[in-house]
Amino acid sequence: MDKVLIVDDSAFDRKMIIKAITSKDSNVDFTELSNGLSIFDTITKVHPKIAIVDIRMPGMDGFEILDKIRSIPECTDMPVLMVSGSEQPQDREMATARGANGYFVKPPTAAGYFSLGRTIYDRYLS
Amino acid sequence: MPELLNSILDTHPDIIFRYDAGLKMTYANQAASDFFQQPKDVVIGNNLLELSEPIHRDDIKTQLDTIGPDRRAFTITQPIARPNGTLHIQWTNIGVFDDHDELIGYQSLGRNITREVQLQDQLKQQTKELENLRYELRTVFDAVPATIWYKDDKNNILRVNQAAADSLGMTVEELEGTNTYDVFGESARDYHEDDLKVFRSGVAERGIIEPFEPAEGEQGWVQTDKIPLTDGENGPRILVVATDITALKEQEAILKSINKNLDDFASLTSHDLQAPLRKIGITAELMQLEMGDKLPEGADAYFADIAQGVGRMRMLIKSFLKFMRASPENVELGSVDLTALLRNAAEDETDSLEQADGVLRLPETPIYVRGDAALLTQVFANLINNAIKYRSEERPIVIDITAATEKQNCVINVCDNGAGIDPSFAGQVFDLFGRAKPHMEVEGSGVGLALCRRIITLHGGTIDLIPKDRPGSCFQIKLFRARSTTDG
Repeated sequence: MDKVLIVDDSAFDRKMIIKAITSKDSNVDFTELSNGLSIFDTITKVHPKIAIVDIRMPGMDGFEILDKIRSIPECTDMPVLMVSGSEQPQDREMATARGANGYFVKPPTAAGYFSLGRTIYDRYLS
Repeated sequence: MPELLNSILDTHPDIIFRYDAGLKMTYANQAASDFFQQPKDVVIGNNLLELSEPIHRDDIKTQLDTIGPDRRAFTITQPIARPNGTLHIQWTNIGVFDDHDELIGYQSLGRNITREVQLQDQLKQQTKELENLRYELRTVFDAVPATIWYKDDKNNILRVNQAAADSLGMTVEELEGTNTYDVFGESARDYHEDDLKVFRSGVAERGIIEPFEPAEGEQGWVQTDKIPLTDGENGPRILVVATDITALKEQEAILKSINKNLDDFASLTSHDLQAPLRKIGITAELMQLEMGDKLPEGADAYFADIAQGVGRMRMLIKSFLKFMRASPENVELGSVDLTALLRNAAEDETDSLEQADGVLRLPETPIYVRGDAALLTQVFANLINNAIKYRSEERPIVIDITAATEKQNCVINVCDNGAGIDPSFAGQVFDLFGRAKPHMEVEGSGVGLALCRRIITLHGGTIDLIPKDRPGSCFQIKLFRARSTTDG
């Protein structure tokens, strides 16, 4: 069973990404974090296949979490997808520069989420 | 021999005459005759005092009375008023004594020193004027708030002004005549090398911004101009004028910080506002999707209202962010072909125009303005879009865009035959979130025209709603002309 780690301070957005990926394949296990404080422990315990990380969070932001993930030896090649609530060109550039595998803007519609879920599944989980 | 001597004396330019102890003239040369303005035969035998002007007589008598064995001669300069100007005669009066030292007569030699006196007066006057000029120049030099250094190519300080001296806690006198190496030590080398570059090129370097260490206080910033000069025989010179721009730099830093804060605030606000908006929109959508068949009749209309409200809010946030992001740092000015830009702006509206069965007329000849192409495209796209959106239902929309030059400006009119704007709202149309009747029913963020004005203002231009005879609206934009495609 594929494991997906979701780091996002919004419970609603975590729920939506889970719903979106599950609509493609319900046989995916999700671990949710609302911040990056326990990222090391969680990754070493869960060994997720991919991580989806929100950029703008209070305290430790998504890029810091990305750096922490990449510092774990087993996670240097693990797909990490950055998501943001609004389109920021500098965030997209930063995501690429710091080694993220993708950058998505959180869709404003349910249909958009389902489409995003299918894309993520097809590219990284199937 | 006496004849020769007489001839020499007679023709000598100096005034020469002799008179006895009773002041009776016994000899006078031609110059004396000219001086007394009498023929020689009148002068000789006449009394000196009678020949002299009344005003001088007492003085002559008094002076001659001082001649005696103890004072055999004296020299005196006498100004003598004449109709065509004052004569200045330098008299040397010599007593003639016999073997017993008895005074038997006098000899006088008068040299016309009028020209020398005039020259001396002129010199005095010119010296005074020069002193006044030096004082004025010095006062102006010292009053200039910038530091001014006048140096030669060996880094000798020829002149400094008070501001320059104050900046080092020294006096002007201490600095002038010294070498900058003596004042600044090895750090003078960098300045010297910069100066030499200017000397070699012969071209002034202006607007150099560099850090500056004053005698007291923290490091600041100066803007320096270095101007090479040639001082005739004395060799190359350089004028270095440095203006303290520390306060300006600090304000610039504050402004940059404020703009960054505003930008960050705008980004954060739009991000934070969009999260709950997303939640509302998606939840309503999911409700419809997952519970649609269980919901009562008419629920779809409510969901449509929610979706519309959410969509409008999203548009408002997007427009607001765009508005806040239009700041001086984001404006890149260059020479823009306005005609080509208008064509680009119109392209995005082709579909809307077709649907509205509308006509758009654009200028045909190239016309260049100074502006940021991307921002100006936004402005005109917005105006065209507004014209289509707020068209009249009674007639197809016609949009006329004309451009003409007026002195250093380019005047662009964007006029349409649409619904027009109620004159009572004319003052509010450019306000942020301002909407004008009858447009309240039409979807719009209320940010468009405010953004247009903000962008045009950042260009140093103006945008106004101008009166129109026929129905519709007319916006007039003024921008600075650019001379050519290379005029940035």
